[in-house]
Formats: sequence, structure tokens, C-alpha cells
Amino acid sequence: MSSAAAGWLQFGLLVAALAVCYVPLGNFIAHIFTTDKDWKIERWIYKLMGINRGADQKWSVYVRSILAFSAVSVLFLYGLQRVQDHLLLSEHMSAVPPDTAWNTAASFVTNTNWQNYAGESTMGYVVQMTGLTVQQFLSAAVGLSVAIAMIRGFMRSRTDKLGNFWVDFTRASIRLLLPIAVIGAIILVANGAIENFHSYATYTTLSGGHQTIPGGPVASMEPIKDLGNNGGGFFNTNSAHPFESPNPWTSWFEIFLLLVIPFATPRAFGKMVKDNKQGYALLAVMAVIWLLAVGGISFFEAHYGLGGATAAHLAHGAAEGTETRFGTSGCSLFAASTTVTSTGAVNCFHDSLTPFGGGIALFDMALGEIAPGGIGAGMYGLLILAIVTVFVAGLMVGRTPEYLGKKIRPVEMKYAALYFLVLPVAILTAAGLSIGTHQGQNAIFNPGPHGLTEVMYAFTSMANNNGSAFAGLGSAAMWYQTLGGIVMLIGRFAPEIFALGLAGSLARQQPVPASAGTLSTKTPLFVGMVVAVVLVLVGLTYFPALALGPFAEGLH
Amino acid sequence: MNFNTDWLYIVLTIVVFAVLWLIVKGVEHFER
Repeated sequence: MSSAAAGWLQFGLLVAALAVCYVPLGNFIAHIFTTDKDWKIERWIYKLMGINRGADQKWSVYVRSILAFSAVSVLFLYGLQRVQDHLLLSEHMSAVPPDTAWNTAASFVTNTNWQNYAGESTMGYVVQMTGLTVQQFLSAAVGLSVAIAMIRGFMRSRTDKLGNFWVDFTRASIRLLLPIAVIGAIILVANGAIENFHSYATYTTLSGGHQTIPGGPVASMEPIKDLGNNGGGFFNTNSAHPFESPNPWTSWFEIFLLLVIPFATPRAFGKMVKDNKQGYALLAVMAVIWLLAVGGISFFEAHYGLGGATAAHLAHGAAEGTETRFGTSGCSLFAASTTVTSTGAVNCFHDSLTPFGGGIALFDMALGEIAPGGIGAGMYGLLILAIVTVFVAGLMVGRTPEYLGKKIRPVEMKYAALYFLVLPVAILTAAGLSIGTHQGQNAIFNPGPHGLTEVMYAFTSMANNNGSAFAGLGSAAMWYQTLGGIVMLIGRFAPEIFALGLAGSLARQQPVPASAGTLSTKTPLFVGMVVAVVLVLVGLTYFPALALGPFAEGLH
Repeated sequence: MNFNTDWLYIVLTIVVFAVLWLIVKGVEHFER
């Protein structure tokens, strides 16, 4: 089968599988967060943790619960890595250096999973299992909880309560993430992913060299890595490693896992606001942007001449840095899907993408990852964009700015503006400081536009909690470890503060009935307007940096 | 050396979350 045919087959099956899951999974997510019935295990957890499950929280209490939980998580994960040499099953690895430990703690708690280390040579089994994998569940549950609280802002009226973070968070972990991850792990083990506690073994190769074969509880980490849009792999080469993703089918399955919950969340939204067409409209926005990303990267990786990659001429495609088991089409589909979600897992080397292919991956992350976005984060990001669109459209055609019966007043627009300003400020400030200081410059190994792209990609990836690395940048330098950790924490939690503040403001409103002056938000016209607002907003914000980086390199 | 660096990162964590906490307080103040 040709590479192109394999690519189309993978893509077609992926769309079909996601379409099949949309309604049942979306309905199930809605049910999880609307039912009053607790599971027995959940009641035990509430009792153990002293949680009053009936207490509804104001938005500021909800967000403070998230901040307190996350601060403790960062400190715990930092400490766990620092005492690794005293832990069992550490594979004789020494304590993780302080700057790497802090960057990693911030990274996994914020759902970023940016990795300034090689897993197989830095992290022992206990840290991987009880530290990193646990955070992959918890950070994903936090993201989904914020999205659900945001949706409640539209559902509720004349209240300042958005639900209980601890209940939402527990249910997201126990009812949704854990069962799917267990099934995913069994499927991966059945297909050759490893799951053991074997010590690393060193063998002599036929040529007389020595090769170390690592072991580890890999298959149990792999599904939540993708399902929770985390992306942090057990091994340095992530999903390009045969122990993480043994064959093209498992690569396809991992792409499916990283897309399935974000694409089903609009259904949950439609179900919860009792208007499924609203869910379909947001799904259409997500699908259009995802299709543009997949099509764009696939085109430039297949038509190497346009991208300017010279090595590609010899390999009939931009095959440098591509895992040969998956090919350029498998790489393109994975690269597009991992950067439009906040996953950041990779099955090929993104630094080897053609300039325009890499530029699209960078642009995907700059979109704020709303198509379909990270688990929960994509949904609340897209809802805020929909609010901005309603407001802009209202100004353009004289319609009343309303969304789902809630008026979009100046106060809501201030929250939305703050939400969108946080990330560019964090990214461009950090990138500017890195380019303008010796500490930052010393770790930029590639000169010219490619070096700029690497710095921009690193901070865009970290601030948007993506975690994919362009590589080529010496991000293990203390400057990037520390600044990167700060950028990840600000990039994750500051937008969540403004999103929940906005939700609180919406929940306090009395809904207004739709009138002749209300803009319909479930038409193809509205979908097109949201897509346009997304592209213009991001284009205007990042155009200078994109022009000096990937565009300059690609057009050279 | 590492002991001091550990404290540096613990304090940095507290400072970053304190800033986020203050943003919440600021937004609450702005709401009123």
C-alpha cells in the first residue's frame, strides 16, 4: 500500500471512529456531571478527604480549590523526584537535579508534560508510576472540571455557584479516565507494548556493540498520556519508541485516544444546555480547524519541494526524523492531532518537519488549542471564543450580543480579553527575554529563523500546556527549566481563573429569551465566523514572530 | 548547594501560586 493510501485509510477510519463515539461518550460525560448519585468508592474518597460533597462552590472558591490542590501537587512531585535515589524500583537512578525536577513537576501538574529529560535514563519506575502517571490522570481531571464549571455558567441563572470542584474532579478521574485508560492499556499490551518491572538488560549486538534494553510499566502510562492530552512519554522518543507504540495500528489507536474526549465534549455541552445543535456547531468549528491542520501538515510533508527540505528529495517525502514504521502520513496525522489538542506526544521529530509543516504545528498551538483542544481546556477556550464572536458579530450587524440566553456585557468581554491576553504576554515575554539575554542565547544552537522558531515553539508549547518539543534547543539549561516552569504554571492557571470568573458572571445573570435580534449560534454562518475570529485573533497576535521564524525559513 | 536550590524552587512555587491567588483576589475586588 502506498504511503498516501495508508494515510487516507488511517484518516478515514479515525473520522469514522470519532463519529461513532461522539453521541454515546458525550452523553456519558454529561451524565457523569449531572447525576446526583455517587458511587460507593466516591463516597469513601469524600469521607477520607473530608469533602462535603453537597457544598456548591462560588467560582472563586472553585478556582482556589484548584490552585491549592495544584500547589500541593507541584511540591509533592518535586519532592518525589528529589528523593528518587532512596525509592524502590528506581533502577539505580540518582535524584533528579533540582531544576529538572521543578520543571517536570510544573509540567505534569499543568497537563503540559514538557520533558527536559530522557525518561528511561532519568526517572525510576516508582516516580513514573506514582508521580508522573498519577498527575496525568489528575491534571486531565482538573481541565475537564473547569470546562464543566464553565458550562454550568450557561446552565444556571441567578446564582454564583458553579458546582463542587472536588466532586467534579473525583468523578472525572474515577468514572471517565480510569476505565478508558485500563481498557486502553489492555489493548496496548495485547499489541506488544511492554508492562513489567524488569531491570534494564544489556546485550552484545552482532557487531560487538552493547545495547541496553529498558523495561518498565509502559502500557499503563501510555493510554492516559494520550487520553488525558498529557503527552509525556515513558521514553525519550515518546510514541516513536516501539515499546510505547509497537506498530501502525497502535499509533492510530493513540491518535484516536488523544482526540476522543475533546471531540465528544461538545456533545456533553449540548446535552447539558439542553440544545444539542449548539454542540454540533462547536464540533463543526473544531472539525474545520483540525481538518485544516491535518491537511496542511500532510500536504507540506508529502510535497517536500514546497517546504524546502532537501533531504526529502532522496526519500520521496520529508522522511528525515520520521519513524519509518509510520511514514510521513502517520507522522503528519499525529503531529497535527497532538498540536491541536494539548497533548504534545510525538511519533516523529517535529524539528524535522518541513518549515511550513512545522509552522502549522506552531500555529496550531498558538490557536490556544481549541480544535478540539486539550481535555476540558479546548471546550472552555472555544466557549470563550464563541462569546467573542457573538460580541464581534453583534457590533458588525447590530444584533444583540447574547449566547445561550446570556447577555454578553462589557464585564464578560473584559474576562474574555484577559483570558486571551495572558498567553501571548507569557509567550512573547519569555521568548523575548530568551533571545535578548546571554542565558537564553547560550542554549540556542541553530542560528537565524530556525533558532527563533525553536524558542517560539518551546514557549508556545509550554504556555499552552502542549508539551511537544521542536527539539534543537538546549532547553535543559537552567534558564529554560526555570522560566519554562513559570510559563507553564501561569499559562495553565491564569486563563482558568478568567474562564471561571466569566462562568461566575454568566451564572449570576437572569437568562433572556431569544428575540428577532438574537444571532443564531447554531448555523454554518456562526461556525464560519468563529473559525474566522480564531484565525484573525491568533494571526494578528503571533504574525510577526511567525513571519520572522518559519515563514522566513520556508521562503528562503 | 542542592539543599539551597531545593528551597529556592519551593519558594518559587509558593511565589507563583501566591501571584495566582492574588489575581483571584484582584478579580473578586474588580467584580464588586
